[in-house]
Amino acid sequence: MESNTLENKTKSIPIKNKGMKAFLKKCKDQQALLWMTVPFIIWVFIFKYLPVWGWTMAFQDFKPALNFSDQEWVGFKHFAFLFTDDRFLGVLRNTLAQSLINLVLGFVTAITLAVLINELSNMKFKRVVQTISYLPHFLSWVVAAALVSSVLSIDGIINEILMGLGLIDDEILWLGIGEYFWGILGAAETWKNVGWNAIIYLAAISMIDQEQYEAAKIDGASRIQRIFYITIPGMKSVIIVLLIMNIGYILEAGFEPQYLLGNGQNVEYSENIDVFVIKYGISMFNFSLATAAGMFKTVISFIFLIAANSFSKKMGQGGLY
Amino acid sequence: MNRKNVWLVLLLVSLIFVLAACSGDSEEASEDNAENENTETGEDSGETFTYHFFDASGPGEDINTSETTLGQMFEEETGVNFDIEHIVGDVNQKIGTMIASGEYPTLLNAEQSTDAVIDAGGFIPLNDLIDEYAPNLKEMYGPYLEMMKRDDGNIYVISSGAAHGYKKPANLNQGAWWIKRDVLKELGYPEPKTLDEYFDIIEEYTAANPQIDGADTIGFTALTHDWRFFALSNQPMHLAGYPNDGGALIDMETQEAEVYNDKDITKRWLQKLNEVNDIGLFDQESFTQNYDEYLAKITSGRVVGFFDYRWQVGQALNTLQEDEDPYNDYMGFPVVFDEDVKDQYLDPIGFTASPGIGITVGTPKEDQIRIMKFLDHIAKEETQKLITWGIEGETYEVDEDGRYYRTEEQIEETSKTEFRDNFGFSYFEWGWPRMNGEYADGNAVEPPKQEEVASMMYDEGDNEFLEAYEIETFTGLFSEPDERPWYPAYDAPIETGSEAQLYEQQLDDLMKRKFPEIIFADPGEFDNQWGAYTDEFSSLPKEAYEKVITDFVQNKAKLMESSKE
Repeated sequence: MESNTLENKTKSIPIKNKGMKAFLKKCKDQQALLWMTVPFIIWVFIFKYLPVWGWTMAFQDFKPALNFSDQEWVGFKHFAFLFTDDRFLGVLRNTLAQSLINLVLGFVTAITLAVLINELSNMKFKRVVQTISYLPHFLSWVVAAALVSSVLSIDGIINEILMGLGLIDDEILWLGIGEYFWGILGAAETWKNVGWNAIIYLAAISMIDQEQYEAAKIDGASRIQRIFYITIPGMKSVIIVLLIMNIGYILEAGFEPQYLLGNGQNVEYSENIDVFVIKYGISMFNFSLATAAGMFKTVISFIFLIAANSFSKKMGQGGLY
Repeated sequence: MNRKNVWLVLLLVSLIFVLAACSGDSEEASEDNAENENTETGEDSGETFTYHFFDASGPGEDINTSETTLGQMFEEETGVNFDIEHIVGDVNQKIGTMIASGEYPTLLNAEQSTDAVIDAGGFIPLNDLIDEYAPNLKEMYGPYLEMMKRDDGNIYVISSGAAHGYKKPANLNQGAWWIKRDVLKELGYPEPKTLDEYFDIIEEYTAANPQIDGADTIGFTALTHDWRFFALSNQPMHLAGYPNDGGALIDMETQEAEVYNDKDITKRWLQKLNEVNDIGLFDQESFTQNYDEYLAKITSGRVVGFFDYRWQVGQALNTLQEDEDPYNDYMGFPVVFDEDVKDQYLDPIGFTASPGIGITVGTPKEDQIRIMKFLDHIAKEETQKLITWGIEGETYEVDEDGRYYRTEEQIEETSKTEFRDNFGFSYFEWGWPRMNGEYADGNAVEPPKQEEVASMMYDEGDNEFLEAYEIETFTGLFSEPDERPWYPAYDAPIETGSEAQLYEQQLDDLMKRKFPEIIFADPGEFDNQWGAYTDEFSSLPKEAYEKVITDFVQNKAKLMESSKE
């Protein structure tokens, strides 16, 4: 066995050289293109890699007034604080739960909407539906949150409808009950983004060869069957790429809606990592803790992304890279 | 695309990058040049200098001071004007970002984050500048200069309100228990003295009037949004007969600080709210509404009563005052726990060393001097009169005894927001070096505190209530403040990252989480809920906080004593 691998290695050297040569030749042939990427590599380096230097803050008791060499190094103190703090564990739970709800709801609703819109034959109606569905995307969360909170207030429309239908006896203070928060957040996110998210799926659907539908029709496939056997499989590759990308953002459950809709009564369900960072980091000028929490988020996201990608490759679906 | 074209594109792209990189530099360079030229030509050339002033004390329109009458006058005298930028959103976050980036405006009022900027080395020490260039400022602040010094002996910010004697305000600006005037009128002008009487009034009215203008009557609402939570948690202190000292009660004799958030007075307050909630008088949305929704609710006239500081609900109450119906307004009462408690809602003479305005690091020496001279100009008594009273013959008159007064038209004119903005009252009102109390000639610094002005400010609606309660002004029901040389204790600087700071944040979180549970609990559950809260409270580092406050109070009181001698 051992000798075999050794042999392989020695054998592979000339091939490698050949590969290197081919690589250099390719570089030479495409040198114009390579030069054109240089400015962008510099850009990425300056804006994406240099800031990573700031991560050192997480291992210090950072004081803005002091020079780098004068900072006090404290090792993993801030990480230790995070993972022994009950509150942070709750915050982590909220982040994951909110994110998962958003992920699942976001995908299911956007795909469903895209398929349904695609099935519409009246062009005018189709356009109107699509426009209305993606309009809320352009509202800022500040406005959207004000809308959500007024709809959900005691004398808001939701309470009025439910009371009118006789489904509830007393008005419900929706934002005052922690357990409801995840649901409210998921619904609000869906309302705001479903139309926008559907656009890319509609684009994917439009790439499907129309002849497939005609062939299926001739073979006697019903509308539902056409959706399940042609449309959805046709969108599969787009869905998977988006899923992988979104899993990379699993700890980015968003910040604005949680911050704006959160209050003392639902804090145990609304506070996520980003809100925590603002409260205990930036607002208390504890930049080290904020950096530690942010770093943790990045590392976890990285792991999720790589895992999802390799899982997808193993399943024979091709990955992001 | 052939080879030549590719290179052309590449050239173009790099050219764009080079240009983009250069333009930033060249702009900066030209700015530097301009500044250098200015300094060389000196002040006599009539050049004006514009500095960036970030004011975190409140929202407002961003303007240049020279666009106002006052600012124009000051610019002529000193050659300096300011681009004022006001805060939008959360102060701590905005200032936190400044600290993190190290980029400050030239002049900064960091409001509650002042200590953090000082800790981060964001302000320059002003001692030498004041000594050399600010004789008027030194005179105006007198003994307070010593109090403005931090532990390291440096003065970093100049705060507003150097007190020169006490003037009882004619109108409330501090905390009070507000009740809608309509309610008072209907119930025959009752005067609530204790908390129980106050809620009895609310109960009686609400029972008879379940709806106001077609909407459900709200008995008592509370402001709890974000950092304004103290509008709910401060009451035990006030009800027990203390002024607003912040998070601790200060013993008048020993000058020791003691937190009260786990004491009986807090329990009593929460128990009352729990009862009030049980009979349906407590606004269910108290903990979910934000600041704007709270103000809107008060403006709508559906609310019977609430506790708050006048400056905090100013927007709402001013709006109500401006409309036609005088019964829509609210009247404030000094409510306490028991009859024999002396209320202390009016602020005693006090001095807050922070917040204030300071010059930030990186400001060139010449600019520091110019700004200091500008501040010194403001500190002259004649300038102070311009800032508070305006121009004689235009915004105020002087009678033969030298007393200042305003005619009815002047009162109306100067109370208009638009006029105040254009004249500059709104921008120089507070935050800049300012006196408090009386001028050397006996006139009040602030027109509303001058009897001649105050008595004319009331309209018929106001007079009806003043007569009914047999008082001269709306502060007539309130006791005179006791002398508290340390006042206010909440001015104590709390070090960033210290245990005391952690206590404040954790307490805030704990109260925000637990108070709703306690108040909304079934009355039978109250004791359990209160127990759960105090259990959690006992793990907070309250001793660290009490020590910081006690040290501050005792030190400040000592300074005040020695300055009197």
